[in-house]
Amino acid sequence: MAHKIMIVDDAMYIRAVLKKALEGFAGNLSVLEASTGKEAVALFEQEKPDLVLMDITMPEMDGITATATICASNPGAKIVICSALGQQQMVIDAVNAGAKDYITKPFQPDQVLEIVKRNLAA
Amino acid sequence: MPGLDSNEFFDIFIQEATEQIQNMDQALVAMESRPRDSDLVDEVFRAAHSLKAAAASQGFEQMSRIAHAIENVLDEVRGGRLAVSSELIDLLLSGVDALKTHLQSALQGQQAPADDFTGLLAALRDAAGQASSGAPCEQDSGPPPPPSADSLPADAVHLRISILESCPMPAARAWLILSLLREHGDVLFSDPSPEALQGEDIAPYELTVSLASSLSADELLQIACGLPEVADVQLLATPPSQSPAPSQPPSSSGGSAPGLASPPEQPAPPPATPAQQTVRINVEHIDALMNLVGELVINRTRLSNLQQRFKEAAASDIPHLVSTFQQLTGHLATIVTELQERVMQTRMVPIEQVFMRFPRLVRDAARREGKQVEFLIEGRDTELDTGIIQNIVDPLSHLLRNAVAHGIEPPDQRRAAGKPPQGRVTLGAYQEGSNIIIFVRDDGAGIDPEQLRRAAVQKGLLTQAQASALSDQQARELIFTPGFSTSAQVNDVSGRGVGMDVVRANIEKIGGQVEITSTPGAGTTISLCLPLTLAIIRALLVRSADLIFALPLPSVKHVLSVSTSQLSYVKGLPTVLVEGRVLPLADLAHATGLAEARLQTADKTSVVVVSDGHQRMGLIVGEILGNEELVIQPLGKMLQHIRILSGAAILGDGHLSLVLDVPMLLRAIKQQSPATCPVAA
Repeated sequence: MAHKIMIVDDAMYIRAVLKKALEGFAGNLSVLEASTGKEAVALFEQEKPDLVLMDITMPEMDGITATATICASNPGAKIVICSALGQQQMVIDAVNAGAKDYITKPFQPDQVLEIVKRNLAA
Repeated sequence: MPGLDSNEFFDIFIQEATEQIQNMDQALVAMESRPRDSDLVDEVFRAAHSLKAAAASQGFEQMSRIAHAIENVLDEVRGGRLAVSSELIDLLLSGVDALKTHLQSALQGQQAPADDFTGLLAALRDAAGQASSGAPCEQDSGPPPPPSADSLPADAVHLRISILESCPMPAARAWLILSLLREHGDVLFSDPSPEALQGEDIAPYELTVSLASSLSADELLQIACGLPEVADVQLLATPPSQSPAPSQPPSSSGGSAPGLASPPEQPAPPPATPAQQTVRINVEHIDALMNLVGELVINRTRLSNLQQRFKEAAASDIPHLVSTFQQLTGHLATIVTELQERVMQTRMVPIEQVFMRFPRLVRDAARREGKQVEFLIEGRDTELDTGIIQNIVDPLSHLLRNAVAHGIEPPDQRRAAGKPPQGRVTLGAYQEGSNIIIFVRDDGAGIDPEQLRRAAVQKGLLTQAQASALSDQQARELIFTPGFSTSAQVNDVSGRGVGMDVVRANIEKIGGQVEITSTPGAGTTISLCLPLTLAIIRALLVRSADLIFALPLPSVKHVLSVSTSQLSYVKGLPTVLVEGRVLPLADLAHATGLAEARLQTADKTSVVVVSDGHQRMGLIVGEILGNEELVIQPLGKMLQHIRILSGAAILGDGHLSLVLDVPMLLRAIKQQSPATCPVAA
């Protein structure tokens, strides 16, 4: 069965980079994309993805609020926060909101795959 | 470990970075007048933040550092620790300029520009740093303080967890580990404490935890070992000391847990290929185009069926077949017209793309000139052909700088004239028929025709008598004369007196016209009247010396039939009297230099009266063929230097026509025979 992964980032560039990195995944993956926290919350309810890669700084609704909103109604949601170096405190806030892991930009493809694998397995 | 192939994303990167930089520029300028607008601060912060990450991923480290420095300053502003001042906006705008320079060099395939940005980076860091050092420390409302080690229960399990050296942001990782361990028991104690992890900027690679759990020590050890980014876990027999040594990265990362030990690799350098010019197209447009193409395909099938039926038809069938044929061609015409409109729409972009760069320009000009200017934009959704958009940036920049430098008066002068000290410059756009009008309006001093007359005489461009004979409007038009500038001094803002004539030449080159209206004391409006698109025009077709020329309809005023007896000669050149005014004539074939004049051969001569908005002239042609919608094709390299031609077009009957650039043609005629002075329109 294919795993569903949702990429949430307002920057098309970052979404493209992540998507490309996910092409290296050994199993079947279907990738969903959202460009704001608000979109992510709606798409999550609709698609219930197995894993979410969530940016923090986004218009409309930031990634921390989106994480909190999703986890409030889906306690098992697996959300990995995509942060920039230096956003340590925000990652902590995101963990408090329910994020299960984090990854830092700039992304290395192997790192992305590793994080995705271990969180899908968790 | 292979890096991502950054070439693949280069175009996306450039496109987004351009938008982000422009957004920052715009929001910063707006922020100066609305310093408390948190949306603007957020917008700049977000743009800088996104750009930082993307630039780093793409291998543009310095660009990423500058974006980061801007982001930090904005973070201080956001936190209320740093106030927005014009000086701060200046600094941030210099940062944005540095980003533009980097983007430019990236487009040229370079890693970074040669300029030195260390001073700028230091200034940005200072701005952010001063704010945070002087600020009161924010208190986090974290969990309650843990019990001291003395009060820990005897069955508590104590673990020392080492975090991988390669792990970014170890405090966040330590926090995550604590939060995962809480799923298996109560965290009674931790070093660093949760408060330290949340509140301080620390990098702990070692975490000591005391847990009360229903699980055994071994089970907890196993769980901790399985956590991501954990290098090693030790079971401690005694409670950890309350005052441990400062956290240090472990000297070796003994891997009892899975994780990534290798340091992150540097991304690939940027590619040397320039980015492509792209237009974003709404998917709806493409769907509509596909539908139309589908209909074309059906039509093609029906036409080839019909062709077969014609071949086999008896005479009595013909009328019926002809009527079917007419129906088909009618349908085809509808589809092609719609297809044409749709394809044109894909070339249309909102003018906002150009307008959004101007708030910054006006702001800088006003600051340099010591003027107070409110800048308004109207009609930002107006759509224009991409080809035209690229050609109006320079003219509009010039007009806006002029409006600030020469239009708007200094504040005290405005007050003295009973006006508010802050002047207003408006840039607007709207559609009028098949034209787009773009205007720059100021509420400044206006253009004084008398001053222009005097200046023209002083410069020796006109005699006193000639100057006095000019109407006020004609006097205002003097500003379009090459080399004419009323500004007493050359300044940095509005250029070097090579202004308005260049603006007009650039606008005419794309088939547009420039108009000026001004009321002394109340302000000036300069309007650019532009064609909706460059690619398709309606033109009058004329034959001259066996060549077919196309005269764009906006330049054509009317058509005359002149008999030889009506001609009179002024200094050997033909003229004709039209509505009481002398209209100079020129033979089109001769004027284009493509054939000899044949003025004397016919009794009646066809004359097309054309205008470039300022002057009129009659073009003598052999025959008038009618008007047609033309798709203009660029001329090849061999013919590009012929400035009186703007392109060529294939006519419906397969003939080739040369499309004339009327303003350039009139100028060329004037140069050929200075005596043939076209009359004012």
